[in-house]
Amino acid sequence: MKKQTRVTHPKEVEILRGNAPVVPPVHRTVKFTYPTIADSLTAEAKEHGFDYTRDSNPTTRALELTAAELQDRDDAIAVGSGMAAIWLALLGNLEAGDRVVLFVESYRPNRVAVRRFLAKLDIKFTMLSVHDLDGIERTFAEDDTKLLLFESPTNPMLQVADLAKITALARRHEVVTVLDNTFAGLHQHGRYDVDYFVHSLTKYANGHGDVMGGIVIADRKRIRALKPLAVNMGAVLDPGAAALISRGLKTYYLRYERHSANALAVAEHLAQRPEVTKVYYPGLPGDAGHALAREQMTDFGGVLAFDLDADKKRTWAFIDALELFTTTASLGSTESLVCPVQLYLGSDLSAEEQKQAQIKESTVRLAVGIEHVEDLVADIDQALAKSFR
Amino acid sequence: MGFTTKQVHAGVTPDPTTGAILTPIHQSTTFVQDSVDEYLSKGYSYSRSGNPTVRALEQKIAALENGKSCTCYSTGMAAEQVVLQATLSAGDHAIVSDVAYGGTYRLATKIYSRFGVEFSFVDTANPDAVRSALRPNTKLIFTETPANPTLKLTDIAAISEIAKGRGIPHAVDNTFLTPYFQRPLELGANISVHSTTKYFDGHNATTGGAVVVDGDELGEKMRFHQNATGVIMSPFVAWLTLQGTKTLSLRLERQAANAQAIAEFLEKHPKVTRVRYPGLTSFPQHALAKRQASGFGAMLWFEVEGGVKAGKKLMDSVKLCTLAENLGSVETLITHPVTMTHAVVEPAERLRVGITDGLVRLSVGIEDVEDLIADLDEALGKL
Repeated sequence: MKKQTRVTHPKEVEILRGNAPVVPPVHRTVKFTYPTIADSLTAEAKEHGFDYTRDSNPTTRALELTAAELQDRDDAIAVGSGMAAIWLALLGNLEAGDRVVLFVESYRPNRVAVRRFLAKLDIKFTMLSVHDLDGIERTFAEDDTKLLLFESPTNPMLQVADLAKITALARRHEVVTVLDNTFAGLHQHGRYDVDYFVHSLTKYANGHGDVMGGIVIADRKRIRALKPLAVNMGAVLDPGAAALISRGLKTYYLRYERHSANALAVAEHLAQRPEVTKVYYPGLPGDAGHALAREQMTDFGGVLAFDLDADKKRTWAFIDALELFTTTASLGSTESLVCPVQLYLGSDLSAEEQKQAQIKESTVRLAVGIEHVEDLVADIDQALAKSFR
Repeated sequence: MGFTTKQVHAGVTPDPTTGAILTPIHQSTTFVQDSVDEYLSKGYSYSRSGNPTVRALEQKIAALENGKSCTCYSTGMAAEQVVLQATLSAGDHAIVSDVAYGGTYRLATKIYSRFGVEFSFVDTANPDAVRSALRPNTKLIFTETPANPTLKLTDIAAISEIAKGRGIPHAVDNTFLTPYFQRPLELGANISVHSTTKYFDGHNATTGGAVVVDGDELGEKMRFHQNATGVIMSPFVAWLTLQGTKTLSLRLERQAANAQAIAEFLEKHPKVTRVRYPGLTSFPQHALAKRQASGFGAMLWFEVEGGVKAGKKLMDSVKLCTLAENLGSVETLITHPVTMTHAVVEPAERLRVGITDGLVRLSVGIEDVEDLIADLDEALGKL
């Protein structure tokens, strides 16, 4: 072999059978091959083989199967972001003329997907409050209602959806349920009769704020039906990103527990502050969703919201005065983050809808990190002192 | 600022040009200077001499150890080598713990001894032995506590007093406990050495080392040798280690709790003849462990009935515990020091310091402890 050829056909290093790396290698390859064409056509190759990384990749596959097990399902498709996962679940289950149910208390990009973009594909929507069980039942009963896109706890106002009741209604009326379960995490809600779980892996799954990813998790039959669309859409998760998420996932439980413990302590502290008029955190005894959350969840997560007794200017001054909390969207990473809710997550809603969603100009969302909780509380206190001077 | 806050935030500031909350991976060899007169005005010229991503990790580790400064290296051995280079010259003598990582022993006996440096391997658990090993040309005391693999402890404050009396540095290999559980500089040592491959990374994904020092003069020496020898950490490894360090305390807390439960389980098991874990009240230096550290770590060792043969069978039968070198990661690893980590140490020397042929070393991970105990129980049942 000429050296000019060698550089594109590097020496192969054989790893002895049984001499396995403890951390699997990142399969940084586009293509997979077989010794012969016949080998590529065997039943086994068709079932478990790899061909092209847009279809599947061993590094990504390991993440898909692990995440599916955490969510008590048996299969999943990983994609490049949480929104790509939402779109995969929506496009895989809808056609022109269908109606989607969504809630006014939901993540803004989810609302935008349905209200602005699905509308262009002649897909209708009904937007309700997550607490309006009668409205939900009435809308489910309509012939064209095909799919429910929902969250629990909702982003940004932490409203708890009644999963047992809502999924039972959906089943009765043959409505497909897509639960964006990012806030509750991969380890919760698996026992509910949800058709598709969607997660932004960018958040708690990876947990270090250094990679984007999304996933749709369901039973194998549903995932198989969705797979051709996923391969065609091409919104794949890069194997390098998959490897980082798998790495992050190893400390998932440790982080989620600490996020939850810190958030509860911060929520309790905020509830006692005179500058704070209301705290939204399902882990807080006294929160409207607490009883339901306790029934459905074991940990309540790291995100909370609260209203300040302040106008917009003072609210922003408070946020600007925080030092440990960084002002930005996103959540679920080791660092604590803060954002003004109306500006960042409510601007697509009318004044009436904002009222329904409980979003005010004085509403602040915290994504509590895993720092020492006393430092976080001290930071909040100094920012309150500074902005309420 | 609390340790857990520092492990997330220290050393990291949002990128001034983009606002990126994480330190970018500065995968650049060289750095542009505004003018000849302003050479190094922004702090960087060439990545061997200094790299912003590596510097962020160095600042974080220095903050966690409460040290003056830190330098990072390609491996823990590279870090150790720089400590020896920066403190020893031909004709000098150094005292090293008689139980230490095999690589430390090899570095001293096979490499530095060729350059006219003399070493005494001393029971540093005994301050009198250290005192009597001092020579006029002793220039360094290098201890490892808990020691790999026997977990023998050295009283850091007592040995630091001896070093101080002679005006020589006391270096401590703090890899097994990390600054979350033990901060040697606060106890009087001058240098804290780490293999960041272990708990700092914690995910079995990188190799790296770090040296934290308590003074400017030592810091300059380390920086000089880091640059001169070029045994540097890569920016990508530094970035992965920065990210891993953010969960250091969470992992260690869980690992130590798991290790305590496993040690207690093994102590009661009829097939186990001996267990050593600093958190056990039966540990010979349990009081010292409580005094100089805030946790007992996640390393333990034990021997089983039937000696070497049975020990090997046990290591071959476990399923969840992985047979591999390395330690400190989220996965539980099981090691046979005599054939693996300490094979380079002379057999007679091994036996003298208590590394028996049947010693099984366990680096406990963050798995569910019931799964780990069930795995060990099943393997023990096969003996």
